[in-house]
Amino acid sequence: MMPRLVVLGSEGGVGKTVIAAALADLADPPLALLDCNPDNPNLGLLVPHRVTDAMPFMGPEQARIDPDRCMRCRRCLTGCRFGAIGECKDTLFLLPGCCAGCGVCAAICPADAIAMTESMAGELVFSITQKGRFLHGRLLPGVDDRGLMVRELWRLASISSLRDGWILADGPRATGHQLIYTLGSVDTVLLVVEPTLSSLYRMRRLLTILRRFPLTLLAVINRFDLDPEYAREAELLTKSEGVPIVGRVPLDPGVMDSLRAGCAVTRCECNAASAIRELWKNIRTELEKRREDPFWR
Amino acid sequence: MKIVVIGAKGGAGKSLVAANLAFSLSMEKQVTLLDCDAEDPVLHLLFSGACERHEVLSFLPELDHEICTRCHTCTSFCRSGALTPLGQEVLLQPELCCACGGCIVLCPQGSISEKPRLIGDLEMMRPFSTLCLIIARLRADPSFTSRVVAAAKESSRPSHVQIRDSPSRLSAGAIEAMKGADFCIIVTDATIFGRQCLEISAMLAAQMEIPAGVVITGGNGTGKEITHLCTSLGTPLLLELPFDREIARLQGRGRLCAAERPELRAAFVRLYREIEIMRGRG
Repeated sequence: MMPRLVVLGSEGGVGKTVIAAALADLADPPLALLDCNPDNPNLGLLVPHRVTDAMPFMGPEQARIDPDRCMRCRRCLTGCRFGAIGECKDTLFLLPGCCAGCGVCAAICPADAIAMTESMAGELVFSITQKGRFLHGRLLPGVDDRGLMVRELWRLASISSLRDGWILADGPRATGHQLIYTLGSVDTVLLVVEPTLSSLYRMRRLLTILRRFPLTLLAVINRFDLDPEYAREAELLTKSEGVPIVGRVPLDPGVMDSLRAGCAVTRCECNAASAIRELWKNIRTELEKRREDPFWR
Repeated sequence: MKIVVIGAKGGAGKSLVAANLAFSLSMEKQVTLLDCDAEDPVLHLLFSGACERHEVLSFLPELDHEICTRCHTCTSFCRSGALTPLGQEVLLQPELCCACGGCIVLCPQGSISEKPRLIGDLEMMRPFSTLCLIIARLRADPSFTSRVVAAAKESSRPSHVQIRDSPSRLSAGAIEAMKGADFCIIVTDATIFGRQCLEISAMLAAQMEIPAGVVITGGNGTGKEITHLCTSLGTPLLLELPFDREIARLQGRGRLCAAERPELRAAFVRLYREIEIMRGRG
């Protein structure tokens, strides 16, 4: 089976998208790309692609109040435990992003004024790059779909023509349903960690989750020269967990330049780019090793 | 005054802004700093002091099989799968429950009652006499995030200036952190990602009718385009923090840059004044 790799950050801003985009630039085709951050999809900002199709994505059912039927009895307001119903000038309405879709309000409304309806949660976008397909989604601001869009992205990535190539994914934030759906769909995780207190703290927490899944774990230390002491601690932590370090990327203004230009960092000549080339080589070696392991066959 | 710090992009410096703003203001006011990133809180790493723990409970249904007539009103209502039909019987799986309370209201026999269950912790610290830190920590399924955040909001004193640090994912937890806030600080950086983050965050603040302003980190005068964008989105640029390797390292080590650099402390106090003026106008 071809590898399915996700780049996960211990926390936000550690460089997962930058590294994912650079790896996408280095990898051989066919390569399917996936952006698992539908709240703020930004892999596409660094990977040249052409959108071929988009389709609406419906989220979990949500309550909708019909103002013509509503008698203003306010039973829904007191019955809702999620604080999702607001009142303004004698009108009851749903507050954005609060409805949990439980259906209590619809069940207790004496006027039958509340219906549970599928609501638009965002869109799924299909694109092509020079190396294969690129899938991403875009959730409307404030919509919490409990990871459903990420689950759908992985389902789409797993079917049809995408099955034959590599899948490389820019991971979600390391919490919640989006993380769990992602970990259930991949076989390899590249962890991006920074030599900072909070990054290491969150890394420890993330590792307790990762251990529950049968995954090959690899780690890269980004901006390793920011703080040598914490960088050492990061190495010790990953070593004690049996996670090999496959790369060390320096803090480099070249990364900012590539971000300003909107291209993969490997398109600029800088130290960070050579470090990421080295990283890619090491990832391939690790995955080759795995091929000989009967567990992964 | 209740200020929420948001930003759809991780690592742009939300926690940096929230913690340093709270610290700077605590020199002259009583401040409560709330870490609303209940799924993965870190603000306690920046402060020291004794920690007091309070449990956040939610109620979970309990079914009395003696009274239950197997009418299945509850199973046909329950959307979370906590109450499902199993042949004639009613199967209760509390770990799937979203604690909406519908089954209790709807059961014609009154055979369902509620029992408290732990969904999170509030960790309260007082690093300084004028600064109170409340960490919301989720201990159950992510569906309960907003309740733990709501509990943290309720436990803070109304007389204090409230600064809330929100999670980067604009999920239910972030929405709960924003609810009831008087002002929204959008933190973003000067990269190509920052632009998109700003658009998404500003849209959400507008949707929730909370006035907003922008703080840009890692600036170095590169954010001209973003400055224009701020103006066009109606979210004024309030503060620009230049990239400074030293600040990055201090922050990385869990130190407050406002504590080490008086000029930054002054900048954060000015930021607050500006917000006060903007609120006064509104």
